[in-house]
Amino acid sequence: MEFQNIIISLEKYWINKGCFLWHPYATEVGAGTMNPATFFGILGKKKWNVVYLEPSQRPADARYGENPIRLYQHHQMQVILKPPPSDIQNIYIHSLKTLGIDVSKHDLRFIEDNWEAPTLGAWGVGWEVWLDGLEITQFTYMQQAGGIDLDPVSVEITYGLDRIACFLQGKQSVFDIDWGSNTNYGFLHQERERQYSFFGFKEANVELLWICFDGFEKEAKSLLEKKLFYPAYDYILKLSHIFNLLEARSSISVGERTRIIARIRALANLCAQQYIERGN
Amino acid sequence: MKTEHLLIEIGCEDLPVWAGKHFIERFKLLFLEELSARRLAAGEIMFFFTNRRLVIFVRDLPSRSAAGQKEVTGPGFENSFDENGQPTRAAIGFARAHGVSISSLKVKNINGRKVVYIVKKIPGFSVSSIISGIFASVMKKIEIPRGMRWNNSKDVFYRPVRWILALYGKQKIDIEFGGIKSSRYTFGHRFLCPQKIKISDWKDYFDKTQKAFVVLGEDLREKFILNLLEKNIKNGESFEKSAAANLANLIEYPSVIRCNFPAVDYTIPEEVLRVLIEKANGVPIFRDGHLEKQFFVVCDGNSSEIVRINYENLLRTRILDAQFFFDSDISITLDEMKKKLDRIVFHQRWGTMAKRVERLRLLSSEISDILGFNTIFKNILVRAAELCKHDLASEMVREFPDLHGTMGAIYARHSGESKDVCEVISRYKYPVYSADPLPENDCAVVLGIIDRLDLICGFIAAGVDVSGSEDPYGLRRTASGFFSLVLKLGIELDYAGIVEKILDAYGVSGQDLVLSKKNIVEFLIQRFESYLDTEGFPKGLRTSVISIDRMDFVKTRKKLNAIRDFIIETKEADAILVPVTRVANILKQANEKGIVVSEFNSILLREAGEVALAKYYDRFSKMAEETLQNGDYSGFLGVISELKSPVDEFFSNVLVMCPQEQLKVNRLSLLKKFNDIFMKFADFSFIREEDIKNVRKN
Repeated sequence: MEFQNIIISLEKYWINKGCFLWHPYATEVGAGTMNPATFFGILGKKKWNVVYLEPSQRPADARYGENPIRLYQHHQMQVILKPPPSDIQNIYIHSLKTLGIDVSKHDLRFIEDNWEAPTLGAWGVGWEVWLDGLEITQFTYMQQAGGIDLDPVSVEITYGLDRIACFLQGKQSVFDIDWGSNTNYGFLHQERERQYSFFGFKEANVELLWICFDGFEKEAKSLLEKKLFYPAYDYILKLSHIFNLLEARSSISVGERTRIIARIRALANLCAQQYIERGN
Repeated sequence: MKTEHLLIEIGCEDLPVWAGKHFIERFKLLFLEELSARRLAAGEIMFFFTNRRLVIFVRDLPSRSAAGQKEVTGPGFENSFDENGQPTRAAIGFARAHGVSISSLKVKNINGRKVVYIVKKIPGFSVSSIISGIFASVMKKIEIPRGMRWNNSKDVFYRPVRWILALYGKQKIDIEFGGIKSSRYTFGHRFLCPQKIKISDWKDYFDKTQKAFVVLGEDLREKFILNLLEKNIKNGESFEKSAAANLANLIEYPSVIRCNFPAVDYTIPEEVLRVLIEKANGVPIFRDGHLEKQFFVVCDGNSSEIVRINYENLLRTRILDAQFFFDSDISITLDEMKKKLDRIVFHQRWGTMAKRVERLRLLSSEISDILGFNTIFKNILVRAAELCKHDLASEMVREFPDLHGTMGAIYARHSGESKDVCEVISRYKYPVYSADPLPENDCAVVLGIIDRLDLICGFIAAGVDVSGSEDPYGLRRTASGFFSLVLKLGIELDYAGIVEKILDAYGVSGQDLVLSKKNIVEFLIQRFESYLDTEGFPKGLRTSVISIDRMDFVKTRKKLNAIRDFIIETKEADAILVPVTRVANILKQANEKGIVVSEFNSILLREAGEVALAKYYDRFSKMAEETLQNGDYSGFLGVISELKSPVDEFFSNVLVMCPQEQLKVNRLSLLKKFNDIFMKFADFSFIREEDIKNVRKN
């Protein structure tokens, strides 16, 4: 199955299960969890079922486009179900069938793995899903976001599309994946991977990043003072990405690391509180 | 009374690998407590689990609980009856509240106070009402690490509960947890037999789950896997049973595939390959101590050709990935790697791993001197201490933490360190699990001791609470490894001094030092008690020696061994130890009565028995001191044996607690002289008869 058809099939599948289709966010995120459709969506009491593609940037995972599966930017398909149906595990397993995976012929495992986004004060309990040993999905019952206990809890299902495509197409490297419409993954992404790797590991201007960090933090704070938590949240995402870049550049000492996470999380917690206070 | 078996199956979404054992330990305790509180005597209680179900099987449970009675205490006697013996309003009210007449009120003494009470009959209840009543509350009482909520019930468990089967004999029992009501249904293997299955009773359950591809017993699954592996192994090949056993709790129905290594070039060491295989549900195959170019994969249910190809491809990707880490690790020098330790936190209060390494280096040098090791040994130890944490900063160990030590040694060797130093680096972290073999190399043992004690001291000094039932920082496991190594080293040493040195290296001083040291010593002694317990030393024995030698673990253990051997080898050990404990006990009692024992005075000797005993003292003390100085603890017990007849004679002849004060004190003083020497070995007053019996039994 072509990469673009994997995206479409999963979107269709979850739309049929009652999700609405959202879109990737317009700023860099490290994971689909950071998209406001998840961070805010899982807060509060309201029903919230959503599916969307999320290209996610993790500078430290970059490999100059030379590693078969490690990427600066990978592709996630994110699904949120609030509250989760009681047969959610089977619904998920069934979604693999729509990709043409006959799970009864494979070795499918749910291996304990608890996911956490420390800068967002978000965490949950769940699994890595292994298909013949390959990690294809992170499946999490989210317990907290923005430091707030979630009630009801949400299920977050995050498909690693690049790996799934490798698996389906029997490719050894993501860059060999057939993207669809006579295009391949490498053609679209390999040069980007190379350049972003140089950027993340060697070229990103550390001094400028710190200036941006302080400025963006100030901006988020002043927006929060005016209870404008949506735009404030955008700045929190930027802070989070800057933090990831600084880490990739090895420019954060240990003490700083803990403090920076705490600074970003404090803002995220405020966003979550204001969102709840708005009656959500 | 009619009895039946009770069967409860809790069906869950996939449980963490540790959950089954964790559940059994806690549920069993709480459940049996509740049963006995309700006077329901269970026969045997058994547990089974897989990654998708927890099964409780209670044999021979009576259909009703026993009837019983309890005393209910009412108002005080004076408030219940007036001077004329007439009941007051308080008494009338109490009787009425419990539905009894005034005449059935009884009177008893509680701490010298007279109170009124009644005896209340408690009827027996049906087993179904009792189980319905206690199940959910027991489930809720289990403290679950990283527990989760998943629905409106707000109940917390390891993973969501999706079905509950509960049968007493053929009768369904109504229980509820996590918003799930019990039923008569179970489910088979997720893919091999996914349908709902109706169950009539326990026999039917064990029969049908087996047919539905669920291997319930942990040990059965393990055996199942081992059999499959044995069947597929070729002549001259071998595999590690532990690698197979680790996989047993992640599956319901094992199957095994033999896979080939992918065609790919690599230079990563075998140790890494092995971990890569194990990380992917695999079991490495060895021939002559080296990896074969084939490996087993243990699957849950399916083992088709396509699964084999996928696992082979997976290993190919993993090898390429590991090769990337390996190449980038060896492209930098050890010094560059060391710099990265500045970026790894050891503990918030104590700073980075780099600081910890500096401390280990310093302590290694000091402790090497204390232990009296030669320069060659010291140099190896100090260099290994300096390098042993380097690999924590490597890409490979960040990805595969289990390879810590192994990679450290490989990278150190690559940069030209001596074989001896590398050997220490690769071995010092063992035992990681209690079954691990200990390092053979003394240097690695010493570094392991320092490393563990540094960790324990740091965490406790930083205020980590070690009193709870959980062990979040793994300090108990660390302590257990520490003791194994200390005993392996076998050098008598008061580790309290080492603790102080370590705290000093942390920069802890003043009041903080006193308190931290106290907490650390308490923790270690308590853990050592428990360590010796698992080695089979009964409580009285342990306490008798620990109370004397405290933080000298080696001496303690040697003495305990001597006592144990003595008890086992000497038929009349009880008879020999009895007079000794008698001396210890009589002094303890005197002390409790406030009798001050003074200087012994031979002029005050009256009876033949005491004269003889006093005469015996010099010979005894000389021999006893000699054995202690030589660390000959069996010898000491031999000397003690010879005391039996003079002491027995003394006690049958002489009344110690006689009316004449002066004589009494002097007799006690004579006994104290003996006891002072006993006390250099152990406080025998702690040893009871059952301890001696227990030693013989084990």
